[in-house]
Amino acid sequence: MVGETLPGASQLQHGLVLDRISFGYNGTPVLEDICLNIGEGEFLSLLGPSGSGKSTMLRLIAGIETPSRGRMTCRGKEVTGPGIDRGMVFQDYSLFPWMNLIQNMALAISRNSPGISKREQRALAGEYLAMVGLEGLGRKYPFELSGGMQQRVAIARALALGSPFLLMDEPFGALDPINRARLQDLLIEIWSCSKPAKTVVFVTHDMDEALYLGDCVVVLGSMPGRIIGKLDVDFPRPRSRQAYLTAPEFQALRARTLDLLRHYAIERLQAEDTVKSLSEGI
Amino acid sequence: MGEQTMPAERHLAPYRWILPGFRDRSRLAVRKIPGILRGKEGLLFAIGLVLLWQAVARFSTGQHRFLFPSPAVTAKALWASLPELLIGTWHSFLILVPGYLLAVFTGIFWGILVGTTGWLHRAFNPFAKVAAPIPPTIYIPYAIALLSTFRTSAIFVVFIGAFWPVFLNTSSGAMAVPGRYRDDAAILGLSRVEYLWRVVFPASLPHSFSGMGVGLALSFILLTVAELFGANAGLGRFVQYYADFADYPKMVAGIVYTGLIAFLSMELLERIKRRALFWVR
Repeated sequence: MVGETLPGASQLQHGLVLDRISFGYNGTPVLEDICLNIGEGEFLSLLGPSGSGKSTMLRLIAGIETPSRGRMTCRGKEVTGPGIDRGMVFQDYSLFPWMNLIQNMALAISRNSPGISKREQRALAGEYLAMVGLEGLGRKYPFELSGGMQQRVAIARALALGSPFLLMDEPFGALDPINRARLQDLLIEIWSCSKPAKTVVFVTHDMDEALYLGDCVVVLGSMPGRIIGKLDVDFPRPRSRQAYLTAPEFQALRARTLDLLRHYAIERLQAEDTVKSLSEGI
Repeated sequence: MGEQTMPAERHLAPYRWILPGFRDRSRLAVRKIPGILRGKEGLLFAIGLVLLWQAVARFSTGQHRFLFPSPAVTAKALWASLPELLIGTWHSFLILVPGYLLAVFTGIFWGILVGTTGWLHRAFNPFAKVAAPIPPTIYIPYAIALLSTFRTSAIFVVFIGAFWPVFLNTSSGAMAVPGRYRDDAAILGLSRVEYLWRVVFPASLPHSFSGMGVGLALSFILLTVAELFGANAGLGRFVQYYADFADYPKMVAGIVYTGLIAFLSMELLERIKRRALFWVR
């Protein structure tokens, strides 16, 4: 096929395109040959065991790390570093502990709309905090909040940044199951209300979280990390947890995902076996 | 008790109480302090010290009588020379405060720059390693020769003494800013100046404060030593002056008073620190 005349070429100008991306730390490969197109407005879950480089992949997209090989574009422009078009929420509550919530939010707001007054910044910060259910807590400091509340602020701050792309690195990984479920629903609500729809890349090692949230799930294998499968979750929204647990479509997807991971694990074990037996012959 | 000690530790056994983490449970358990006095051990120790002082003063004979003025005599001398001491404090602070504040501001500023800038660190650090351990007192004669007045040279010496601890602590704090704050700043697209001012400065402030504590203690030492050399007013000068006249009650009063001022200054710094670092958990 000739790239120039591809029917989808104009679409590729949108969204995120990872083209044969590789990355390694001092010679140890972490990610190998990652090719992925992430469409605008899509909610993509990145699922993988620990050591699969899923967080690294997100950091590459964010521009905090630079790939050792390959090309990456965001809306047709090459990614060379961090930019406020890609907001990020980290797993550890990445608020600055010496600033209260309003000050933390104002840092993002002044990026998104430079030159607005302190008063307007405070008002906007209050609005964003209300969006995540934390109205009136602007004068609190992060250490006065629970883990779940801090993560709500982190989400509010990413929204305040106004980024069309939202990168989330196991944002709910440290929360208890009830808070986790609440925040998942809050995230989906915010995402489906956003206009134009935000593109979310959501890293998790929790299969149910990946399937319940995502439009599609990209499964990574480990050492080095590579894409071993991509599943579309064609299940209408709004989704319900009940349906997720009972619907046969979801059960089938779960089984397929598990199969992918299991198959991959067995393949790896066999590969190791082959190497062993070869070396025994020498 | 059948307590096993490692061979290397055995010869240290008599000095175990010096070693970090040592707690002699058996003795603490047996000799418990009576309930009403518990929590007042510091006060008890102070009373004991004054009593000991009184006893030494009471039972010393000959020329020692002059060398050990009793607590009452010293207190009287302290009261009598309080106006002089207050004026002395003022003169001392005219040296201490500018020198110390200058050291704090430049130490933090330069520490943050050096701690976050690779080439600057590589350029400055070898020099700092050589220059920082030089005892600042050694500069005093030269500073007096070099700078026009006693005050400027003393300020300079206090500055040098306080600068290194503040600088070294701040720069190591700036280098150790947690990666997540750095990532966070990158995601938010902070400019370099904003990053240094709003992230690196507060993040390394706990380190800066420990440097400031060491720096303040050193400042007092340097201040009084400098005043012994060539001041015509000040706390160190007060002590030196009355020692020359063998007026030991006033001299001891000067020492006690200077200790009190140094203690109060450290306490003030501690309060500022607690306020500034309210977010440290």
